[in-house]
Amino acid sequence: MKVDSLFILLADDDEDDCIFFRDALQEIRAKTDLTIVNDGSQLMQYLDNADNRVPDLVFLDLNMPVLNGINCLVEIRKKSRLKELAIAIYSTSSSDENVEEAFINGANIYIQKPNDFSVLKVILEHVITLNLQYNTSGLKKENFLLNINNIKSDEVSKT
Amino acid sequence: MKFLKPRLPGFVLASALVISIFTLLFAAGISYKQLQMASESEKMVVNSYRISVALQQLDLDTRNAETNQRGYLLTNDSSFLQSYFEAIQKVNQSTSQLDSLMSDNYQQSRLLDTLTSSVAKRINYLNEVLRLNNYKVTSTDTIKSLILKGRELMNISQTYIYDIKNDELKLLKRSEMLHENDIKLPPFLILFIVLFSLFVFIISFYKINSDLKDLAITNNQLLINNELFEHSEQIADISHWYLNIKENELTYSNNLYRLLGCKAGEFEPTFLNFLEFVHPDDRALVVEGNRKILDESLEAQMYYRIIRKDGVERHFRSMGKVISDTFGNKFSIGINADITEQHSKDKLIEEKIADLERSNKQLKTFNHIASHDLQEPVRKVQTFISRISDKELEVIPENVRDYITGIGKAAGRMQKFIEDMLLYSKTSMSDKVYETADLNEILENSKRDLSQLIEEKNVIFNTTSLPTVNAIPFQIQQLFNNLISNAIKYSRQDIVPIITIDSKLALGKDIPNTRDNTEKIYYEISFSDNGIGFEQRYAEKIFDLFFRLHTNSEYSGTGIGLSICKVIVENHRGYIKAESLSKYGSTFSIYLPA
Repeated sequence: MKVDSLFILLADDDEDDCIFFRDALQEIRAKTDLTIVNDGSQLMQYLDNADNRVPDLVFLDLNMPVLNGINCLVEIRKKSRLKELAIAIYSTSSSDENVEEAFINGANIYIQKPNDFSVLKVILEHVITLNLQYNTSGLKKENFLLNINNIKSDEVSKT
Repeated sequence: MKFLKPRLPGFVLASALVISIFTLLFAAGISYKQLQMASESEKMVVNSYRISVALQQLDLDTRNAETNQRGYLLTNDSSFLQSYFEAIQKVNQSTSQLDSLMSDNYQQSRLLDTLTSSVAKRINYLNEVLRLNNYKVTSTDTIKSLILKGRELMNISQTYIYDIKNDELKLLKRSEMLHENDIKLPPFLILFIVLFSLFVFIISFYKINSDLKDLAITNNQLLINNELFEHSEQIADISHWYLNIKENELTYSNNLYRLLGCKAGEFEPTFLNFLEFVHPDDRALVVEGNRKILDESLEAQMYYRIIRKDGVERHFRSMGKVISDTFGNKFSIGINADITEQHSKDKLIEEKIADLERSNKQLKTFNHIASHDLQEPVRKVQTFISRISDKELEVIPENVRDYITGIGKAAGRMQKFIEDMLLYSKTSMSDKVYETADLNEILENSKRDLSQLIEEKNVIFNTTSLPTVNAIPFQIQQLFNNLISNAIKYSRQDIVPIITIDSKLALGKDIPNTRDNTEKIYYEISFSDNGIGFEQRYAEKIFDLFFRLHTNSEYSGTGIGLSICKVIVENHRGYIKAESLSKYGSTFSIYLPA
């Protein structure tokens, strides 16, 4: 187990998306460890097990069978041990209802799954470099939903 | 209806009667007393005159006796003696008469006693002189002295008579004076009393008459109102009942019988008889409602079914309460209304609402599916294509590369459709929260959102200052974005696109093809371009959902954008109009209430 690498946990039931995610993560510069769980209950089991390493960042899909993303989010925020866990919602939908619900229940950022692999890489690179420690006071609704245009202009200015 | 004010109607008349009775009794008493006093005075006067006459008679008789005695003494003629005795008898008569006349006056009767005794003394002297003369034993001197003594006594009794007469005269004068005082007032008083009584009687008569008239008017009004009431009940399918609680007397309005399918008065109005008509399942409810009204004096309302005489089931609504009338009698009153029509309408509305809720729920489900499940495969197709690197594309056959490009474009269009449809349904269904929105600010936001496109096409804007309106800001933003991006999209290749945004005020009646004919003021914001325009006959159709004027190869689109614009202005109770000359640009005007 590499201690200096970032430990990322992905909860997503869609195999294709898991592959895209894993591949994109491998192609970016940052060193990361990825663990994938395929539904909400697996995620909770993993997090509830005290022997497991607490992830630095959780990517949480909303549309999952049995225990969906919002249910997981609510459960996680109830546990004092996981209160400060950084959680990024990672969903196909960007509907107002979903964004609103995720925000209210204490997610740190909301990412809409992009339809372009290169955009996915840009997003992951951006999110990982953000210090997403859950902090209620710093949370703003305006930049909660990640806007790809903003990242792109950031990337452009960096290069 | 104007009711007479409640009052004690008998009070005025009763007081008039009491006043009249007392006045008349008073008048009668006064008159009786006056008459009694008058008769007493008269009696006194008569008595006085009698006494006076009797005194004179006594004086006369005494002198007569003396004259005859002297005549006898001088002549010795026995006829004188005869007359003398007659006169003495008369004196006695007069004395007894006087005695009876003056018996009621103590002072006078004492005076009379003195007079009588002096008269008796004198008679004694007369008799003594006669006796002495008969026996002829006495000297003339003795007789002379006796006669002198008699004259002296005569003078004394004369004085007594004078005294009594004087006294009597005084009494008479006093009584006359009193009498006069008594009698002076009564005629005036009696006249006054009679006039007063007459006045009271006339007033009472007038009062009774006017009360009777009022009563007749009220009765008449009541009759009209009853008719109106009954008529209203028939038209409105309502009816009423009232129960005199003390007498346990129930009254039904005619229409109550009719609502139950009966003729007016067909059965005896009792609660139990009414209960017969109530649907068996609802009887307990009606009994409980009735108990609440009667036992707890609560206002109650109940809904129940009745079965009419002809067997038809109807829905009733009843309301009842307890009231007290002006005499303090308690009544329970109530209204029974046949609400069958309303009930069926309500049921229909309920069903429609349920339908609407169901379809809203379905729409929400659709939205969920569209934003998750429908987007997911499309997104994956695009992602897979994006994973084919440029290097990989170079080594595959050209026709395969074209297929892949085609797949990518189709997936892109699919995604655009889904996004637009979601936007459309969101615009139609979102909560309407109005805020103050500065349209200048919104225009600037649009320019920023579309900056890439604007720079690409070198679009020139001509804008004036825009107003601040009360609106749903994000929707107005969407509206501006759609109109501006449309103007850029349908620009002509050969000239620089110019978009002119203008603002002015317009009256509702001046907006073409609308139902608003009022003086209501609107902001008219127009977006004019120098683009390809469209044929004017499509000016209405272009706002229809999915309506398109161009093929995808000419201009890509979903046919949803302008539909969203229309929904947005309608959400703001405004209008959107399009005007165009084909090939010379178009103008879209939005009208928002000022």
